[in-house]
Amino acid sequence: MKLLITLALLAAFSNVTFVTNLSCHKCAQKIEENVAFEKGVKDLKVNVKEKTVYIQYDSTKTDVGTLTKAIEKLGYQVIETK
Amino acid sequence: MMLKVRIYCLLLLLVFLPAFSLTAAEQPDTVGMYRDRTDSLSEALTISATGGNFISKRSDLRTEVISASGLCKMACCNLAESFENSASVTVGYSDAVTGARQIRLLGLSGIYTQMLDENRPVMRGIGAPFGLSYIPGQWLESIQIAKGASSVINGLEGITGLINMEHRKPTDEKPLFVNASVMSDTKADLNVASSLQLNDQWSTAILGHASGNFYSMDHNKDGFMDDPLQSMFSLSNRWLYYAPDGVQVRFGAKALYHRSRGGEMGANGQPAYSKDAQSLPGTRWGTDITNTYINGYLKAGIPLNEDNSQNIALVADGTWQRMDAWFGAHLFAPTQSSAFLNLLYQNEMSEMHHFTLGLTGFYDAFSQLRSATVPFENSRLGTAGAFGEYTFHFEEKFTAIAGLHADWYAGKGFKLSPRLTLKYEPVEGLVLRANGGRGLRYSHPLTDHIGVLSTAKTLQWNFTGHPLEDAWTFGGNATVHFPIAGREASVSFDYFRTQFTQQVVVDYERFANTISLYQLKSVTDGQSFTDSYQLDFSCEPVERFTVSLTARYTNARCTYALPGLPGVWRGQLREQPMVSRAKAVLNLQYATHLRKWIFDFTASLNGSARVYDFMKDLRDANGNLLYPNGRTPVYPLLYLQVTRRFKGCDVYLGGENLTNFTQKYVILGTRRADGSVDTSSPDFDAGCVWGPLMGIKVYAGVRITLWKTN
Repeated sequence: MKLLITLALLAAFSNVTFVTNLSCHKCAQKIEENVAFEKGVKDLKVNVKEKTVYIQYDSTKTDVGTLTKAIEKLGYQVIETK
Repeated sequence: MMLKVRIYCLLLLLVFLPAFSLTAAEQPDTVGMYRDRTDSLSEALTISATGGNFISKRSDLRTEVISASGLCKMACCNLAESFENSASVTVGYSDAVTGARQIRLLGLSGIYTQMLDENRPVMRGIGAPFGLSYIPGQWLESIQIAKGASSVINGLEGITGLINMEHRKPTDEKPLFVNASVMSDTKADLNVASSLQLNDQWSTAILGHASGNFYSMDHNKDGFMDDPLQSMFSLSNRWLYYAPDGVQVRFGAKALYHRSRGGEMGANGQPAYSKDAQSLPGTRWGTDITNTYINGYLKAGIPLNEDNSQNIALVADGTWQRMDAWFGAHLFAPTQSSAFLNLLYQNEMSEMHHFTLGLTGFYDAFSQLRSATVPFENSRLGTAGAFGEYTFHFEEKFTAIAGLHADWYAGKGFKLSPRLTLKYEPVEGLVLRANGGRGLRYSHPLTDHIGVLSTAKTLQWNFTGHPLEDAWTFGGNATVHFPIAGREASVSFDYFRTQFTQQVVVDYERFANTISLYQLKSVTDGQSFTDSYQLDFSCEPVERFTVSLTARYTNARCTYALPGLPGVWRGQLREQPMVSRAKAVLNLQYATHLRKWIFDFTASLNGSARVYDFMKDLRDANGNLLYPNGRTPVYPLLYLQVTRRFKGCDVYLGGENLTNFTQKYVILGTRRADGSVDTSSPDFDAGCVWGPLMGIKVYAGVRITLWKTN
């Protein structure tokens, strides 16, 4: 039963990678310390060199549009969504 | 014997390092950098939320960085406490009553380490004894600890190395930060910081601090307060102007007030004495210290061409500080006015060749209230000099930095001081460093050793003024970076030796109930040196689980009582007393997914130190010798902290000294019939501290961060 629940939850998880204009480790810290606490966010990786923000999220609780707004609210532009 | 040990370590390095280097792989340096920065004008420093303490890969000197994350691993109420999880720096108390803290780097007192606030010299002269307590840990963004003879650009007062503090920046996008914490010993801290960007050119940071220790206890029943009652307030305002043409101007001011009352315990956690009645017969002994500090600074960087390969920089700093301190019946009330100026011209001629030329000067004026009873000479100290530094880079593989400082020291004449730093990366992941050079500083016999005032012993010295202390430090470091489980790990070994050619020695053992201060004027008078060896290992075996292990061994020796002078030891080279020979620190951190929970565990094992000769016969209440082999015991310390992170808010709970180990019989002297120490007896001494004074402490705190949003 537990296995079924876990599989069901994993099936609900989606991934998205945002290409942004972040430029420094302080920007990365700002995104990590804020977006990580957005509803539905399950994993978060910020790559300063590639200027990307990878997010794994629960699609029953949030969506790409909401996450885009969360990043833009911090003062960064989302240039591309993969 | 020691030569053999050094040769053996060198052979080990030569044998093992190539083996490590074969597996070394380049990893992105996601943590702090402190590179190509001479005056904090370039904003090259970056931080990581996931790093703790680490050895900087890019730094030319062997530099340990304590990041913002590292500063949150413990209570870290102030700068002194920020070093608790570092083996490079050892923190201790100057004495058992005043709360003054002191550090040791490379086995030597912190007075030989240059303290920098964003590359401005701080905590000098009368600011040294309590300065470490005056920098709130939560004001800081990171700390860099560089061992050995650093760049001549920073001056020559750093004999064993330098510690540079980076504060929260005006450009931080955090309009409000609040930290409040409380400890089980009734110590409470409040820090508030605000960074505001007014427009594209102007930004400012306001930093406020209030703390206090409102109730004192006497757990060891020796009649003295375990920790002094304290209250402290400080306020700092920092500004940055960044012009479109690249001109940067930073200026700011700081003011501080601190009062500390320690000594014999009265009722209700309050002192048993009044400073107004200190001289009356039968009055209990205590200290009542008030420090006032005001500082202002200006830094400006002006590019001379479009690519900023040529620029000039100015650093000016002025400080006024006063100590109003009662130690028993004695009043010590010095005032210090200081000015510092550094003017630099930097030229990056090409990728390979850089050079810096500069003019620099210090001025310090000391005076004391006429009513003071502790002898202290009114004096004016000054230095003026010029320096030059040439840097040669060969790709990313090799760097050589040669510097020369030529200075005139008031009353001491002209001094020439060379320094050399080499860094070589033969293969990716392997970094070899070597550096050496001369360091010079004016000694401050009383404030350098403030613990001598917490005794009833006779003070005697055979010199006047502020003799120069002169030393050479040389050493090297090898660091290997390699992957473990796909994540970066590192092993680092370093060795440094500091050899004094002139030093002021504080000798507690020459005569009974007397503290003698005298000069070693040259190596022919007697040797004074320290050898320091350190091994660091860090890795992340599992994602979000970091392990760091550090071990340090120090051999500190000094010649006590000059030949031809009366005294027990008559010029013997002896192990320096109260200096722990070894220390090992293990730090474990585990963070859950998205770092919502963070668990930090730190354990340290502190090695033994030789005790003063007059402590060898001390006995406990049962008649057992306290130091049967003339050495302090080896003792462990444990720290634990759990942090729960919410959006914009961290809540933490922790414990310090969980083994509850404390030094017993800290207050020395003839005992009265009731067992208490007779503070009027000439052998009364509260300065013989080698271990923790407080047992288990539990604390809780909260950090609230408001981020700038659109």
